[in-house]
Amino acid sequence: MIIFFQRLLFARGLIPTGSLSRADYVEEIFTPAAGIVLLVSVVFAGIWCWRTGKLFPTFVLISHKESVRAQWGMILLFLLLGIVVALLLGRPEAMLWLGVFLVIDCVVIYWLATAYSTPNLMVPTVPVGSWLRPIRR
Amino acid sequence: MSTYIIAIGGTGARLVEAIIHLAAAGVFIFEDPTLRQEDLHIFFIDPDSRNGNAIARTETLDCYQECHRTVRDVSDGSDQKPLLWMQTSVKDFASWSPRQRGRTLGDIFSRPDLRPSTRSLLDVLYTTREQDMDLREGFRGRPAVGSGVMGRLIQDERRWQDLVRNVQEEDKVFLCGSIFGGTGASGFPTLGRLLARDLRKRRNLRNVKLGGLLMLPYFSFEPPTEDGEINTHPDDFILRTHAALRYYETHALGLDILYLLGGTPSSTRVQGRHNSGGKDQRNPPHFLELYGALALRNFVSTEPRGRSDSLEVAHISRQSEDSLSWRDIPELQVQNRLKYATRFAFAWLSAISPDLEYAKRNPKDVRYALGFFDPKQLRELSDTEERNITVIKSWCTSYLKWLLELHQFGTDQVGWFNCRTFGSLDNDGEPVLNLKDRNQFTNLIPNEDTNLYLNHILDGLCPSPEHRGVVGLAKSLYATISSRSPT
Repeated sequence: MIIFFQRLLFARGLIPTGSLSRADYVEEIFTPAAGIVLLVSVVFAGIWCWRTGKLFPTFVLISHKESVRAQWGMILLFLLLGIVVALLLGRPEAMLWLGVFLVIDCVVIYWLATAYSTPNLMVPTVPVGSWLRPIRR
Repeated sequence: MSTYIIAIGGTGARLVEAIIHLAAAGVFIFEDPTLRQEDLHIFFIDPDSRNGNAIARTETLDCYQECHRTVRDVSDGSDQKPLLWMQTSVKDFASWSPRQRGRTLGDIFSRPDLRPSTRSLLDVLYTTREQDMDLREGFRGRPAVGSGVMGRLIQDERRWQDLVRNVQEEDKVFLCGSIFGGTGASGFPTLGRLLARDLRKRRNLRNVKLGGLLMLPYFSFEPPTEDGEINTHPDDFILRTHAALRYYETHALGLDILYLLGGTPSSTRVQGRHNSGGKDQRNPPHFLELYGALALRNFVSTEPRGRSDSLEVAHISRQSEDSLSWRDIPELQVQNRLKYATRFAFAWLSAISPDLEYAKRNPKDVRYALGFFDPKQLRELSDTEERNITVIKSWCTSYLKWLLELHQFGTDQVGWFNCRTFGSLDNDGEPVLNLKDRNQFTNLIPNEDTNLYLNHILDGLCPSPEHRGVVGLAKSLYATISSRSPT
């Protein structure tokens, strides 16, 4: 939904697309970039999922929460760095807006995917994960 | 149905401790043909009621009863599958100390008031030292003194009469004590015979099942120093046992079944200095006491084969001379219940209790607890819930310490649980629990091919309208452990 909304912003001309036409920008730059971010975020969420699966049997909230949350942050950081580096190397038109959108996409997708895929007892290691997955009695 | 346990002397107290712990584990609940459980009533007899063993027994019983009340109080009977843990009712029927009527044998028989001929008879049967021996710390390994005292006093004792009056047709009475000490060796035959007579003649109860457990020498101690006092001497144990067994061979007590349990010379290890009595007479638990409790289970679960003059004698032995494994526990059901209770105690102390403490600061983080409490409740636990946590924690501590000591005693290798996963004995031989590493849960039972991690148990807890609060959490924990443990 977020990507669709962002695509709409470019397609309607609400955000300037530089020398490229709006349609071309959406088709040739935004859509492939968002697709790659989506894919990479899901892959990194998959890495997190695999990692928590390994950690889960011996995970102790009291003593491991902060260190595991740091791992979650590290993976996200790698992801964001990758996007920034790709943007700097590619130097596309409307780089600032594109960058902001891709970073938002990346954070949201990664956060959602990890919050929902993390084993129940480890959910507090994902920031605000408990809010996303409340316990129903 | 009720079973009355007459626990005699220090060994009786130690057996009762084992019985209470096994009752907590659900060993006295029988699933065939229907779920049936025995109410246990303990009648404790010891002239030295303040000895260390008796104090330990009282503490264990108090701890169990409080936990039993806590867990049972909130049960509304709607559980689909009733729990085994903490369901058996264990009541302190009475405690009786023969010395309440006098400090010495001479006092009890009112020696100065006796006719000269009776006084002479007393002098023939007992030496002057035995007549003047202070009974505050027991009969000091003198069964003849104990028999005289108990036989003289018990029949007029109100608590004994209460016992005889309370026992109903179909109830069971089980005597237990040692064959080699003072109180047990004297009380067992005396009380056994009197009880059989009183129940069958006075009350005309023919279907009351009577059983007994005699502990043959299974521990020893450093011989006492010669100080002129009458004392128990460990070197006499075997001779006394031999004489007592000859006695039981030729004198019918009126019991339906008699259990005898003893150790090999290697397991009768010297365990500290001799104590003639008092609070220092505290012997660490021994695995044979667990078998004593299993003898009670066997007694309760089997129907009498019809009374005859010949005494039925049960027999069990272990597979290896110097070690014990799960194969030496006679029933799979018992094995499983011991495993469940131990896993529960471990999980409660290592995970639940610290997590609930942590939840006061971060209530939404302890996910499994949110099924049983609102976050607000977790942040500010009520006094009742705090008390419930403490009560269950106390029982878990008591149980694991008992288990720890039982595994560490003697030279035999008791291989039921990996006790180093939850504690060790300190330099004074006192058990110290160390449950900081909850991940040792998976190593609790040696050689068990399982990937049963504590987090899988915690993740599988099932809250329900009936399972709420601390007790609901405890019940759900036990239920999950019992359903997920390998059998």
